[in-house]
Amino acid sequence: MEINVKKEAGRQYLKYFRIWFVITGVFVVLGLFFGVSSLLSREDEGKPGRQNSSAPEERVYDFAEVLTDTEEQRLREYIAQKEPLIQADIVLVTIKEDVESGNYGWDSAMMNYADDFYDEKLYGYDAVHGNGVLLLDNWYDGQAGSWLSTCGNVYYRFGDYEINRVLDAVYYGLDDGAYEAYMDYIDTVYYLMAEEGQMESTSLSLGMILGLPFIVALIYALVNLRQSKAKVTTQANTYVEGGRPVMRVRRDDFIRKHVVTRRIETSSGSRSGGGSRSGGGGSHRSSGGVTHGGGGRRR
Amino acid sequence: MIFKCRNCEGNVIYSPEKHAMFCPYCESEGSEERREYTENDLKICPNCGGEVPVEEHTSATKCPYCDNYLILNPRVEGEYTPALIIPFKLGKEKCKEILREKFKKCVFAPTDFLSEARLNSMEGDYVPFWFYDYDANCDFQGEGTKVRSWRAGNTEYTETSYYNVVRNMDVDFRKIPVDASEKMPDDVMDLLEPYDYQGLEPFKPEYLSGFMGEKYNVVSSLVENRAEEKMESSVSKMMRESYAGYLNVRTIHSRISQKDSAAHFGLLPVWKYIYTYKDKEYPFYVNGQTGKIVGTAPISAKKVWVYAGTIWACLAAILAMVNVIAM
Repeated sequence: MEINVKKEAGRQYLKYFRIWFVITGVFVVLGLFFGVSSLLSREDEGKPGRQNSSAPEERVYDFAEVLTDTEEQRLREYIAQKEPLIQADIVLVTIKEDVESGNYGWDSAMMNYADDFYDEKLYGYDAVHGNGVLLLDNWYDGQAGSWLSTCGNVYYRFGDYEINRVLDAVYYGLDDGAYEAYMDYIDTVYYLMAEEGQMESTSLSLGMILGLPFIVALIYALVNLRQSKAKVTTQANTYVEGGRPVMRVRRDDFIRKHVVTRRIETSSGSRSGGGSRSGGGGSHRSSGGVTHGGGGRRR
Repeated sequence: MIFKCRNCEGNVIYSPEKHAMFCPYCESEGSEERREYTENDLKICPNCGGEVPVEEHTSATKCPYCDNYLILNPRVEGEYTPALIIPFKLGKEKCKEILREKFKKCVFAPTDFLSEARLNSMEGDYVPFWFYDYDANCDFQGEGTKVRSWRAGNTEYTETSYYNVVRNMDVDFRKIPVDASEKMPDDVMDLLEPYDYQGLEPFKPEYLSGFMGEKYNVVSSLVENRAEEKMESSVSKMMRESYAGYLNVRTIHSRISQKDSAAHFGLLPVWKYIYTYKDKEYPFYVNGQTGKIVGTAPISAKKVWVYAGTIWACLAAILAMVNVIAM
């Protein structure tokens, strides 16, 4: 008897979860297939070296003189380490200039400066005007702020979210000093361009992989644990002869009434709220005809 | 008394499916012959001589040795003669089907909860009920409030009107059922309602053959308060419905009176399935006429863990694989 019950329990279990097991099985097979293929292709894939020899070696232009020589050197070395990993040039330019004196506003002036600098120096990791990113940081009093110009693979990878993350890193890094802010710039660009950064938007964390199913399983258990004994299915008139009472007297005599008035206050206008300003360059062509992306903000 | 088959001497029982007396041994219909026995309490089975468990209120039972259904004459006659009966309309097989349908989605119920072997232990019981008739009158007076509001320009007006609400209604109740069995839980019996009174018939002892039964355990005056509560609750509800148009009604005077009342004794059909799990009894009651079920299935903690765990594991595996594929 006990053995039969166990056998029946097993049969019921397999029958109940057969669709689940089939779907899970399909995913596991697909996952293994893609996982193994991905590993094999990564082993085969080597990253090509720098293809552009026209651009200068220099990556750090401290025109504003906010960095010491040692800091500049450290930044150059750090950039040299990271560039091959993301297949993009990383350029830093600091200035202390009144960019608004011309015909352009701050956003346009900073954008043009950054794009033209990148174009004129022929930057690009894979080719002239190819993959790369340039941070233009202006220290001029009243016009301080950063502009990020992107090109090539960085242009394709970076949307508003990524650009803002880099600008945030610089902005908050400045609390510790210029050198720290620019190291954060390099780190953030690297993180967002590197695989971990790219995976961030599409991949699920271990917590989600284990946590989401836990929530679903919990809801499943709670829903299936819910039972009610039975619902009351009698009505007030179930046992009433004829199904309804016989109304002998039904009177509704008006006694009195009172009225309350209230003046309705109408608003005279609407107010618009302010907020932090963040300029977006969007996709545009520089004066040299190179497609750049980017964005910036004042401090 | 026992109903025996004239053809094969088998025990003839009432078949809900055939609405007739039926011999399950030779499958003949209408072949019953009523056999009376001098031993009125039937503690010894007249068919096989086995000892029959007869409790204080038992009116119909089954011999545990020869499975013959016995009816105790003194408990269905005289003062215990039911005035009314609704014979079983659903047979055991139909009842099993209804239970399986109702609990098939209850995945955490123990494996053998709906097994054939377990469900075969189901018994049909004729439960004693008192039926109460009331000719009631409700006299009501209250102050009703109606509110309406409107706008004119930038002024909002709210008008509150007061009314003297007077109602007087007669409500005649027929056969409010209250179970007269001490072993049947009152709340469960209430939930099994309503029975379709179109199926009421004058009592015949034949209907008891094939089922368990009881005479009333308590006299009508002892349980009448439950019928009065039901009656008063219904009257109050109907009264509230009669002044539903008011936003609010403050009661000034309300009185429910009975002009006339009467009580009748009758039997109503209930299938009872007792499932024992981990030394605890889980009773299920099925209205033997309408098929309404009252009862909740036991929960197997092991099944909860295993089933929810499987869902978790499958989903986690699927998400992990989606992650791998997306990479």
